[in-house]
Amino acid sequence: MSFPEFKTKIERGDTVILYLSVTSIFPLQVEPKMTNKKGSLVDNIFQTVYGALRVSDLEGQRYGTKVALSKGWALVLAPTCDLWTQCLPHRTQILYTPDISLIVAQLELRPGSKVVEAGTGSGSLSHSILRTVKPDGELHTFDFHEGRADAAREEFALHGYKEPLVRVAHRDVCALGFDPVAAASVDAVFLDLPCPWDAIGHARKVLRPGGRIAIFSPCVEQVVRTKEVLLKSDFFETETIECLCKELSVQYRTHGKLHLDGNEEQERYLTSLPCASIPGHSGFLTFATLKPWATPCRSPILIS
Amino acid sequence: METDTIKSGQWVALQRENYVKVVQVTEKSHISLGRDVVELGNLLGKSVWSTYSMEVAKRIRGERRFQLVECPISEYEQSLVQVLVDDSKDTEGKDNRFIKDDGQSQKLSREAIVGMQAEGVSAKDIVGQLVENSSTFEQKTVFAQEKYVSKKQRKYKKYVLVRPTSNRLVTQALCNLSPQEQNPKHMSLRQDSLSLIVSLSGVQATTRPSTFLLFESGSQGMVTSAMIERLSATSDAHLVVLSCARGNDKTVAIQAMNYSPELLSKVHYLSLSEFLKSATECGILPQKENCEKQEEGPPAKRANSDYEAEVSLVMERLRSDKAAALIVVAKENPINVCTHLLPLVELSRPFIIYSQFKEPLQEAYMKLKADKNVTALKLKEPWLRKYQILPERTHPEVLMSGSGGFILHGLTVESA
Repeated sequence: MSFPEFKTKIERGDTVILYLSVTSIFPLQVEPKMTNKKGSLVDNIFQTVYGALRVSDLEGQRYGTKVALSKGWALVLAPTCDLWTQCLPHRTQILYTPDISLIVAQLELRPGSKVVEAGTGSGSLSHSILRTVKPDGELHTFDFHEGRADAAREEFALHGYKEPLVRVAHRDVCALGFDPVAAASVDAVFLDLPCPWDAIGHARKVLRPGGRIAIFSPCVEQVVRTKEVLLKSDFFETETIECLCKELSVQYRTHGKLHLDGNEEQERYLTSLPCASIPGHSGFLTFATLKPWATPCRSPILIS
Repeated sequence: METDTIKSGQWVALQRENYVKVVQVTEKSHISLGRDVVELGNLLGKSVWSTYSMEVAKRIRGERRFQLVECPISEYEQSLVQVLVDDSKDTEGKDNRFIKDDGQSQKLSREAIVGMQAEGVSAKDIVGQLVENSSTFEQKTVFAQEKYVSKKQRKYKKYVLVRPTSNRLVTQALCNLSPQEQNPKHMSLRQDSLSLIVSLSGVQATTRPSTFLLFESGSQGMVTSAMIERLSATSDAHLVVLSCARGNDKTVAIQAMNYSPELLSKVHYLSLSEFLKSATECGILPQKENCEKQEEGPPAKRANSDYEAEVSLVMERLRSDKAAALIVVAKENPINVCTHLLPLVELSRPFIIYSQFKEPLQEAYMKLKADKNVTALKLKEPWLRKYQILPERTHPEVLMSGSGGFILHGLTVESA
């Protein structure tokens, strides 16, 4: 329950981020007991490389402070969307913060916005959408995998996001559309599907005139096909972007300055270097606006 | 279509082809759109989504003044490529081996073209004439013909789309102003860096009281505006905007959004020096041993009671709940501002520093690392590329933005 509001003290039921190092971040649900593999209730003990943590000991601690582990310490942090994205349980490939930020901004989301998302996946983007549209907005999120839809619904509830703010449905939107979302009722649609063009007609139906759509696709061929269908479905100002974020490692470097007489002088300076290997591609983001003068349609336009 | 009509004083976005400008509409206002001057008076009372053709109104000292005449959407939407390029023709085997760049291919004289424009001949007819009188058009491939016609359409089609403003369009309008400049007015802020700052800040409409602390200088209020949008009139999230001088609330980026007075009541503009002074006086900031005088901006002109009330409200909020985030977007070296304001931020909350240059952020990185009251410290450089998407012609756009600035961010923690 530590997502929708800022908290300073850890309470039972909170989701806490246990921060050991940049590459070692874990989400913890603050409950004194947990069910083990055999299905029996046992004490909730979390094992780390620095030793064990009795999770119930976190209750009453302050966020942003250190907790002792049996062989060291860790930081307990309040969850943010960025931290959650870095450590959430992967049920699918996920979207990362640079893409998520751009999607939320380009969809022009704000408190009160009504949004449709397909598929839900691991809920990485959903958390940022919910943070932006709450308290009176709506997110209708769909996944064609029943287990994933259930897991996401449970996770959102655990984080304090419930109906009517968020509705998770198990549904193949390409075949069946976004029912029960009413026609021309949402401000934005986000699609991350293998064949997004099959869902564009349905998106056209639920979007209000002037509403925004975003489509995430890893391959160029998908983008070309998507754009063709967008233009035939009353969308305009299509734009395709790719964004990355280079992380730079800040360090002091000592460097020899060679003189012409063969002597060397040591120079020390502050610099930052990009990593030798970085994620070079996530996906292409395609954005478009539904023409404000498009007439409302009752059934989706089917484009073969 | 939205039925809202444009009222005097309202801001709208004006779009011609891909060029966007945000403008305030009044009876007498006029703006420059490329080389043309356009009068806006006609927009009053029209729908916020509407289409216009630009028609010559009068000449003032040789300069053509245009007025906007509402036109049917079909006219605005008409694509000359569809009219003038026959894509059914087989272009196999065509290439440019016989096309010479000798300046002789266009048979129409410059005077004739300017004359047609002055007479108000439609873009379709002008471009049609250009195509007919081009001796090389038929030799081009269909792809090249399409490119030729869309280039001419951009030049001769004088149509404008009027639409409601949004932060997306405001960013587009302000960032497109000076793509050539080395030191642009927006400090290299780009749609991706701006959205990343806003996202990392965690600004959101909370029901319980929360206060976001922002210092912005040199980016035309774009960050302030993008953060205001994420608050809500019905929530208890407030934004404190600090700057070296007052008057930051009058920037184009904020005004263009037509924010409601209820929403704007959640935003407090204070001068940095006065803010630090008050915060020290009321004990929420520790007394510094040697007060750094060079930090202080110009002294307050006149303390008025509204401003005093604003200051005490902010102090009261920060006394009961420390800030939920600190965002520093500065054309100056941000390190002093950042280290002075960080003690006001609650533990386990984000801070973000943006700069056009990476050197000050490297310094800040080392300083903050040594202070040991932050974690997950990262220096990042956003990268963005746009694509031309066309069947068989998909490729990155030829021009791309070279820099979107640098972002240093992390989370506050108990000092070690």
